Order: sequence, then structure tokens, then C-alpha cells
Amino acid sequence: MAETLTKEKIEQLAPDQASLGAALKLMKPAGWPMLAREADASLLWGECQGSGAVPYRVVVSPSDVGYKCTCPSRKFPCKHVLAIMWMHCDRPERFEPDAAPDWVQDWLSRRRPKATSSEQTAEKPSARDRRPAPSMAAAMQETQEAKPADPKAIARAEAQRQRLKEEREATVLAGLDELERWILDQVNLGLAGFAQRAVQSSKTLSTRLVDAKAPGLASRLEMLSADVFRVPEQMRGDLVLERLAALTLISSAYRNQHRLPPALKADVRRAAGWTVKREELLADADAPRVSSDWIVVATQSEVQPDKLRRLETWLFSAAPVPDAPNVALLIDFVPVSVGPSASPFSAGETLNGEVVFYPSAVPLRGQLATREAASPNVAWPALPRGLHTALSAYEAALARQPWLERWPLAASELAVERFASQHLVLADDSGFALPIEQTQTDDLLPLLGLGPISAVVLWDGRFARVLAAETAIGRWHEGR
Amino acid sequence: MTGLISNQELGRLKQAIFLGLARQPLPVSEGMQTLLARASQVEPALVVLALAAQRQRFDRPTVERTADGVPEAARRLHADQRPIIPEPARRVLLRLANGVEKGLAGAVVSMAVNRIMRAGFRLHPFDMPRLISYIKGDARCLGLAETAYLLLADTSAKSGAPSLLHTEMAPENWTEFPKGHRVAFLREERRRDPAAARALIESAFKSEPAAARADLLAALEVGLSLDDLPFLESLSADRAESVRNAASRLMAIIPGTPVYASRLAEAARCFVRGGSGLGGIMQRVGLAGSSQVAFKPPIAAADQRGMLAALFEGFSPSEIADAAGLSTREVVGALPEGIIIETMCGRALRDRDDETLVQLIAQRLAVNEAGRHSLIPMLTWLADNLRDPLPVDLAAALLGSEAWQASLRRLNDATTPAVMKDDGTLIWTAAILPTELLRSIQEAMAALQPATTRTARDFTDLVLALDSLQPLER
Repeated sequence: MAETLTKEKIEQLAPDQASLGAALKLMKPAGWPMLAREADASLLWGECQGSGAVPYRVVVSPSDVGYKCTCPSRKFPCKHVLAIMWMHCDRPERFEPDAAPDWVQDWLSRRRPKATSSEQTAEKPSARDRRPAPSMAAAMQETQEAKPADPKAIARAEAQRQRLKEEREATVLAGLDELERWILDQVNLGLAGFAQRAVQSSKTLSTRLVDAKAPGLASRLEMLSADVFRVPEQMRGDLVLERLAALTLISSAYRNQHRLPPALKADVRRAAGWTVKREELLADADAPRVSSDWIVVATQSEVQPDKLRRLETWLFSAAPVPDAPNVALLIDFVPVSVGPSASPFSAGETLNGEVVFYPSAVPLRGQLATREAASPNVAWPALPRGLHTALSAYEAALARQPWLERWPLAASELAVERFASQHLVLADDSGFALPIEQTQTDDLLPLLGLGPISAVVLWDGRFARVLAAETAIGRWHEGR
Repeated sequence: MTGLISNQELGRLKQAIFLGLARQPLPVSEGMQTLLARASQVEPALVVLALAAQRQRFDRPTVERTADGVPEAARRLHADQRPIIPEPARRVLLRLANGVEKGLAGAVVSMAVNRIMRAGFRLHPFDMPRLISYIKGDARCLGLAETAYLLLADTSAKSGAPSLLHTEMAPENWTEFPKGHRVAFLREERRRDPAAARALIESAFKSEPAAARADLLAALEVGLSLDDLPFLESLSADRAESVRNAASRLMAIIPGTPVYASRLAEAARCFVRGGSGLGGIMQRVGLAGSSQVAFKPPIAAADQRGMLAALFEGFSPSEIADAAGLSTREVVGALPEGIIIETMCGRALRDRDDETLVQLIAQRLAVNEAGRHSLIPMLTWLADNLRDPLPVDLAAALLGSEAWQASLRRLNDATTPAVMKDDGTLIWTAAILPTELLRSIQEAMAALQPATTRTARDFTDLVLALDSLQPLER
């Protein structure tokens, strides 16, 4: 039998009183779609739905108080680790005995040995200065003593929020004026020379857009100055043309948002930088919801110019429903300064759950509302044959949301082929083909001659990026 | 959208936008004028920019597909008749490749793939981009699929490289194969017909680059004889130093030459039957048993290791025993720890003399019983060169040896991450153990930190997974 955790030990581990208080708030069963343990309780693990799009994965080894959580907190242990330990003390029956999944095994094999728990506890007092030791009792008392909300204070806060919102609207509009003037300057100067002045010119304006509280536009602008050098030289002009046109369209749509359908209005506000909190989204009765077995087709991690790491998890419904989104994009942002981080899911994994999509003319980005183990042997769904149907869907999406950047295409009866000496294309049997991003050439070589395949790709109007493919010799996933 | 703006009009609009409206005004058509009038509150140039871009975005790409859309190499990649490694073993292989330390990755992955090949499987094609760099230099790891992938990924290779059309290497096509394959082929040919193999090398020699010439030449050490001397002598004027060095090394180990005879005599003189020193005195007075053979190195040199390597290169224990008037067992029993055993192991391996090889390894363990010397060089060499795992009894002796146990204790007592790292003892041992003893090493490693044993554990898991596959899958 593994050494058990005691409340005293958890109190000693807690970095501060606030962490214990936060942990206590996390102990509701709804926040933990999954809690499990080794048969002898030598390992505990679970998934906690935090504020991100995907749940945090937490694993604890009670014997030496080793732990790992995928959240970006800089407190060690974080509230999720403390919560899982605390729950195991109070309600051990909530932990189902199970075999450790791959991510737990992986942590186990990578972890470095820790100092023994007695060494850790011996070190604690000196590290704590003179602050009172964190206490579970105090955390529970704080929760119980929480005063009922004052209606006047609530009204004041609401009025304040409204005032700030109005101020921000005005600031954003002023930012849009500046953006349009800048785009007009670029058009007058000529886009052929944009690449040479892109970095400096975009940087100044994007800083102003951040000040104007339109971070979404600032981010698009900064991405443009990076992306312009990622495409072949002969395509740069077209890329700049389209990206500046998209900014123009967003600006114009934002000014006329009162005339837009609600979904497109939500799109344009998000494009400018307004955010919707997870709780608000989940509470939105009009938001599209899809429950399904989902295949994690790909996970991507990219550092943005604003020093945030953008973690994308692409889900593909194994049982597509007509007229409902069959691809969901979960996005989390983590500061680069917290170190390397990745999506807790790995490509190829399957899960069952409900995805709530952000209101949009073309629903794609969502939040995972519930999560359970997927049905066994989740099969790849049947997809439309050839590229034309998929491209028509892309064009329809582009018509509904004109500043669309990339869109998932799903099709079957495809083949990866080589054209020119080092380029690959995704072709169908009608003779139509989409060029594939050159960065994927090496990884996709084994798919040459392996047709017909069924694939999910991201299409940006120039290049296809293959996320996953179902082939005769198994499933291929990007980056797996 | 495409109806509103024709291709020609789009071209003209883009030209103006790219050149700059300050230089070239927008050529706006009548239809577009109507639209602009409707969006009067927006700057007309921005409306035109948005419309032109949107019109462009609805253009579908046009790609000229070529006739060789699926190159011959890609077809060969998937035509390999060997079954693809089953998924459970594949997962372990990927775990091993992802977790192994960079410095060891090439050798470890190459050994793992070699085990997979010997079990009758091939790599999963999807894993080749990740694994091929580790195995491309090792001919044992390159079957049809792996070779096909190498050619596919080599953009400089001629389309449909003909070597792939031949399932077997033969004297008619051997030059078309990758270097690792060619060297392995020449060594086999030398075993079969040394003169014919030499003729093959001679015929292709001049067209090869220097590095390849030196490697091909090294294949001549199998079946080396006086017949090879004229060819080797002709290479003394080769323009590459590496080739000249390889040729002179081979000439020094050709049996039957005066140099060889003199070296052999000098090497034999290093083995003396007890008769001098304390052992000899004790033997003469009857206090010692049968006379023991001792190794007495020649005069110490600055580079003792290099000197011994040069002196003993190419000799087998039996040749030295004949020259010294001793038995082979006596010579082996007198060998000191170090380079001489390694050199003789090389010869035994070349001759496929497994019996001598096993004797030499046992001697290497015996002389290091105190555990004073690191086992790493020997383990690395064995892992690199052994064709088959060690015999069970010798492998058990290795695991029980003081040197190996001392390494285990050192890893167990380590307190800093740097010292906790497997220095190679565990993984190289795992690589040469027979399947019967893999559970034993897993048990021995159980007390160590997971991070220390990760690679060795993954390797043993892989071998056990391959071993557990049903005969049908094989």
C-alpha cells in the first residue's frame, strides 16, 4: 500500500493560504470530468476543467509527493494539485481504480527523483518567512464566511463595467480610424514594396492598436509582418493584398456591426479583440453545441509576436451531424515565460464530449464543456469524395465570413503526389490538386503512393496543411 | 464575385495597388462605380482593395500535375513484403526514440531497428522521417522499404533509382546501392570469392569519392591475402590520405609478408611461460602449480595503447599461440584488460569465430573482476558489432560480474541528475543480452530511478514485445 497523504502534509506543501482557498473552490465534482488512481493508490490523476479550452491534467505520486499539472501556474504545487490531494483525503471513493494512461506513464518515466517528503517538510519553515502557515480550516472558514453580495455594490460594479465598455468602444473606433489611414497609406505607396517596410511599419501601428484596446487587430498585423516572409516571394504581394483587405473588412464591419446578423457581429467583435469568457460561453443558450466522439487530429503550438504561446487542439467529429460543425478548434494561450507547454492532448487520442462553439457565422473555435472516455474503437468517418465539395464548403464559409484565414477541409479518395522536384500536392481523381505547405514535405513523403486516403487539412487559399489522414496502413497525424 | 470583376480587370486593379495609387490611379469599371457609390462613407480605394482581394480569394489554385506524381521509390516503399512492425512494438520503439539521450540516439535506435529487422518486420513508413537519420548508415537496418525512403527523401537522387528495381544486390548492380549496402555486400563477396570481390572494388574504385574509397577498401580485410598486395601497393599514390592510410594498414596485416611475420614474432614474445620473477621461483621450488603464461608488454611507449593496437592488429589468439608455442587457451588467459582484447575481438568477429569471441569476452570480464575498469568501452563495442546476443551463460556472468554490479551501485547511489544518467552501462548491456535474461536486467534496474533506466527499459520492452508476437504475425 502506498504512503497516504494527510491533510497536514498538504498544508505543509501549499505555497500560501490563497492556494488552499483556490483548491477548495475546485473540489466540486463537476470540475473534474475524470479522477482515477492506481489500484494501490500509489498514483492519483485527473483532469480539471480550468479557464482554458482544454482541461488541465494533474498527476500526483502520494508516496514522495511528486506532482505534475499542465496548467501554466507559477505556484508549485498549483491549486489543481492541492485540490486533487485534498479530494483524495476527504473523498477517496471519487477516484476510480484504473490503469495509468499514457500521459501518466510518460510523466512517471521522465520524472526526476525528488527529495524525500521529510526533507521537503524540513525545508519549508525557512522558506515561508514569517507568514502564517496555510491551513485548510482557515480556507474553509473563509468560504463559509463569505459575505452575501451587496446589491448596491453589484449595481455600482455593473455601471462601472458599462462605462469602461463604452470607453473602450470609443477607443477601438479611434484605433480603426488610424488603421484605415495606415492601410490607405500602404496602398498609395504600393504593396509591391510592403515587405521591405513591413516590420517597422506594422510594429508602430500594432502598438497603437494595443493602446486602442483592439489587440485582435494588433495581433493580425504583427502576424502579417511575420507571414509575409514565410511564403515564396512571388506570393507575397497577393498575401499582403488579402490580409490588408481583411483588416479593411473587419474595420468596416465593426463600424457597421449594428447591421450585421448576431453571429457575424460576434465574429467581428472577437476579431477586434473582445473576449468571451468560458463561463459566459457555456451559459449561452444560443451557442452551437455538438456532442460526439472526437478524434484529436492535431495539436499545434506557436509563439505569437505578443509573447504568448498559442496552443491549438484540432478535434474532428467521428460521427458528423449534418449542418453542424464537424471540426472544433480549442485554443489556449500560455505566456512564453512559463516555459515549454503543449496541449494536454496528443494527436490520435479520442474523447467523447460536448463542444460549445463560439457564436460565429462559421463556427469553428470552441470550448470543451464535458469530457468522457471515448467509445472503444472510434472509427474514421466517411467523408465526401474529392476536393470540390470540400472547397465549395470553404468558399461558402468565406462568403459568410469574408476575413476567414484558414478553414478545415475534409475529403476522401485523395492521394499525395509529388510535383516539381520537392513539392507535394493533395490530389483527387478528377485531376484537381492543392499544393501542400513545403514545411510538411519530409513528413508526408511516406504518404506518396498510398492513395486513396481520406484527410483533414487546413486550407488558407494558398497551401494545404495536412492535419491527419486515414490510410491503408493506419492513421497519419501531423507531428505525431 | 467573379462576375463583378473579370480576370483582366482584377489584373489591372492589382497592378495599380502593387505599384501604388500615388503613381497609377485605380482603373474602376462602371459596375464597380455603382458599388463605390453605395459605400460612400468608406474611402473608395479601400473598397476596391477589399473587393479585389475577395475576388482573388475565390480563385481556385491551378497546379500542373506531373507524370511522375508517384515516383518509383514511393511504390517500392509500400511494396516491401515484410510485415510492418505491429502497433504495440511500434509504440515502444517511438517511446525509445523520443526518450533516448541525443548522444546515444543514433546507436540505440539503430540497434533497436536491427532487432526489428531480425524479427522479420519493417519500420512503419510513417516513422521513417523521424528514424531514418539514425539508421541510414547501417546496412543491417536498410531493407527495401527503408532504402526506398532514403532515395525518396534524397532530392538529388535520379528519379526511379534503378537499384530499387533489383531485390537482390549482385555484381551487376551493386554500385547503384547506398554505401553501407555496398560495403556489406563486398565483405560477403570476399568471404565467397576474394579475387572476384577485389576485382569489383578495382572496377569501381576510381569513380568513387575519397571517403567511399576508404570504406570500400576496408572490406578487403575479409579474406586478405598476398593476392591483394599488388592492388594495395598501387594505392600508395592515391590522392586521398585516408585511402593511403587504409591501404598501408591492410598491407601490414597481410599474412605471409615479412612485416607480418616480424610483427607476429614480436607479439608472440609478449607471452612468456612463468619462469622468471617470483612466480617462476615459486614454481621451481614447487610452491606454485602448473606453469602460468604471463603477458609481458614490449618496452613502454608514450602511446602504449596505440603501440599495442598496431602490434596486435589482425592477429588471432591461435596464430599467436602457434608462434609462441602455447595453447590458445593459455594466450587468451594471459591477455590483459584493454586494447589487445578489443583488437582480437575484431579479428574474431571478422572471421565469424564466435567461440574465440566468447573466450575473449569472458577473459575481459575475468581480468576486470575487481571492477576497477569501466565496462563501457567493451559494452559499446559489443553492442555495435555483435551479430547475435551473447550466449546465456556469458551474459549471466556479465550481469553477475563485479564490474557490472559496481556500475549498478554507482547509479543507485547517485544523488545528482548528471550522475544519475545511464552512462551506457544499462542500455548497452540490454542491447547484447539474450531474451532469456532481459527480465533479469529489468529486475536489476527496478531499484533505480525511472529516468536512469528509461532507455534500457524501453529497449528491453521492445525486444520482449517483438519476442511475444504470435508466429502468424511474424
